[in-house]
Amino acid sequence: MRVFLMHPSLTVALALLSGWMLTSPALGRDSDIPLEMSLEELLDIEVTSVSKRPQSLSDTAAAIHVISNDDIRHSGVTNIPDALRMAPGIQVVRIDSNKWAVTSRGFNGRFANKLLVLIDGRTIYSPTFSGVYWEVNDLVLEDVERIEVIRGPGATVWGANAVNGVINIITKHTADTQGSHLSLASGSQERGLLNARYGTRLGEGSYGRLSLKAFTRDESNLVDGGHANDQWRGFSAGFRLDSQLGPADSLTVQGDINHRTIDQFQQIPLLTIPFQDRVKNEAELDGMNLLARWTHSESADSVWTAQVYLDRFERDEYILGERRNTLDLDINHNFKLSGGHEIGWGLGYRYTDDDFESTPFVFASPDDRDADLFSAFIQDQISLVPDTLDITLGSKFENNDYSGFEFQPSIRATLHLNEGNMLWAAVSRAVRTPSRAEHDFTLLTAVLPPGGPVNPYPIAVSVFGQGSDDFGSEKVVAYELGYRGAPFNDLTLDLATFYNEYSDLRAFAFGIPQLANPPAPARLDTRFSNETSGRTYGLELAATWQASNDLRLDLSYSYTETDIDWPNVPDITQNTSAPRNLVSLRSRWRISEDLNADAWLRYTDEIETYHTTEPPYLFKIKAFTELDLRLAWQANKQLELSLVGQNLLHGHHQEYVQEAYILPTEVERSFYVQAALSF
Amino acid sequence: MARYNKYRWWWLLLVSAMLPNLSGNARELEEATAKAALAFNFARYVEWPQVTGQLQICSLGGEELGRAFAKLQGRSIREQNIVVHSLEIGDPAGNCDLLFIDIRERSQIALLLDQLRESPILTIGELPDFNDYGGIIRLFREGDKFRFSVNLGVAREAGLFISARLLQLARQVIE
Repeated sequence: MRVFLMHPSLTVALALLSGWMLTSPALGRDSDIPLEMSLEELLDIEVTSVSKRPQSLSDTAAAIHVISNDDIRHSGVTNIPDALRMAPGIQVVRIDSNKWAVTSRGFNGRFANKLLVLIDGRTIYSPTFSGVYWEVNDLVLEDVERIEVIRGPGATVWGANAVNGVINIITKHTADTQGSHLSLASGSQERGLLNARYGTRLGEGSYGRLSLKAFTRDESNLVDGGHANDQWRGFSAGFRLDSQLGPADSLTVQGDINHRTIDQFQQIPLLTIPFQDRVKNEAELDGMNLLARWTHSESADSVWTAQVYLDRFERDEYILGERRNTLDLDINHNFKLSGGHEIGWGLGYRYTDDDFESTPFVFASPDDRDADLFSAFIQDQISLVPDTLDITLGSKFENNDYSGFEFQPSIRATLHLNEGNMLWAAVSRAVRTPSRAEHDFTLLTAVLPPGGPVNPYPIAVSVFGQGSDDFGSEKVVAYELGYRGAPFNDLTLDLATFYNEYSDLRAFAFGIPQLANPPAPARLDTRFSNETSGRTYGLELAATWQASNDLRLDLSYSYTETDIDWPNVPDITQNTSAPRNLVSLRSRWRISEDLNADAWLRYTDEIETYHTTEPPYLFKIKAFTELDLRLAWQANKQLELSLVGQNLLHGHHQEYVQEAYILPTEVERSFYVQAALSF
Repeated sequence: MARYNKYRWWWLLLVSAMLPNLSGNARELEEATAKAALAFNFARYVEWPQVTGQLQICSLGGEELGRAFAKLQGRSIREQNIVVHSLEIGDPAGNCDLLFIDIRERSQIALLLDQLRESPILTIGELPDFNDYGGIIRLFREGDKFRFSVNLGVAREAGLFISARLLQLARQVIE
């Protein structure tokens, strides 16, 4: 029976804790201003900051969550996708040491195609397979100012593929990164991680910085035992310049060059006996980009922005070689009109050309192709009742070479209940445009040996995925309703609910098997088609409780239901459904002036994923709970030492299985130590 | 006894968490309150070219900053009564004597400071490049404490007289 009783010491501790929290001076926000204090005294006083929502975002009629630089630092993560686990509604799973699947509101996969991601206004969503290569797009995390995570369609402003969400990774202005910063980390998985930055003032109103990142990460283990051979290493070097050309004009120029090597252990289908083979290989990934943005403020109420970037991407992999160049131009203008109108409009053009080196596994026809994307958007935010009711109407219009003309309208409304509490609602339409692969590729998906559980016939069957010019866009109409506010002084709440109605989702249409002379396998072609419809609905909650000056708790929870009317074979490249429950609970505790302890507990519900060649083909991934801990000691003004433990609750656990090629791996418990020096 | 030992760790953690709170509270101030107190103190060491009996103190920032500044209403400095205004982006600021700028939009700040140049307004802000744009007092943090730098050239252009005492406390004075 003792089990059900709280131990006396714990009771006392809890009583003390609650008493301390209730009486803590941090809660007394309405404290008087100490006018009797002299300037000298004021400069000697310790200033505490309570978490604040950026003002510009708190009024947005969308499910938006901001991951700040502070959040990233306290979380102990070493890469962008892991940082995204902090946001509600975002499912992040690690496929292996160098690959992730990241999505918003369902449809996850190695190429999760309904989430658009941008770094400083440059898209990193690849049009080849429609998805993000997270292993390439990793920055010096100290340079990231914030990550804006918007769930739900963002297509009216950001354009196609922002179907279930948009992630904007925004780096710091160079005036905010002055001086030198160097951090070194080493541990059981993160074998070596170096971040270096130098920032300087170049002249009045002109600042610059150089950043460098180099890392090497250890391999993980295969689920069925043995080494996964999935090491990840690379470097990136980047620069940014910000210059105030005059009171009304500012210019930003930035760029980086990066190289990654990913080791892979792939299960490759073969058209000859034994029909499949395990191959160890190394893929080389290179990228560079250059971006310039000019902002001109005619007045406080009229701001023009023009942006141009060039992006080059190369990927040499065992199953495919890719080169891609992208040029993107964008002009935006925001201005206010009398009568409470705030108008935004913009024009964009993107040119991309690619060149593929085909293999027997992935065959591109034509092997090179260029594509134009023209876009325009307009939206009007109308203040119907000043400071109370706003309505925003708008649409994006695009023309692309794969599915032609697309329009993506939305209507959004905000209702301010009182100071700091608001309701918002939105109805929007967005599309996911076809990828290059869905139109032009032939993919050898699997060769099923005779007599197996999925192929009862006495001859082997090869399964090909066949691109088709008829494949069109996937579409969503999303209905959203949310509340955001501070019901109590130290508690902020953000609640979003959604109902998404999808049509023309991707499915596979089977052809008629063509027999060959055994042992050559029979050939079964499957074509991408838009045959499926479905719906998802759910809710997401984010809450922050500033319990005291020294203790802050962040909770995020999401609940998602998926209901897809699959024709006969589901889209095997994705989860069959989103994990029903996702939880993240973080605590940030300042033990003393120079000692911080952070804890992060995560829960991901069970999912099912497919693998085309690896039995049992349909994998049930169990729900998992994991814990990260970080202890950081500010040794002096320059030096911070930290110890981080990741995935501490289990020796290893599985998070995902990629749909093809990559063998199932496990994420391991790991530790690293870091020294960060600022001078 | 075994169970007691299990919980003792939590005990220790909780008690140690409380220690800094019980001892060090007196020397802590919440950010917005500290900013309002600093603005009040800066104003004590600045002389404006024209004395009207009222001192218009404006804050441009979030609700929290506005609430903190509102507590200065009715106080006085050298027999000038303080009148507080909470501004939003785009609001005219020409009638302020002191303007505390706490927004993130750089282009808006640069534009505003340019418009106010040579007006007798003590501008205070937190951007690292605030002085570059013609802002007079730039606040910044060293650890948990506030520091400031002064653009004396711009202050002179604006007709403001800044006392030597204030300049002595500044980390940097730009001529």
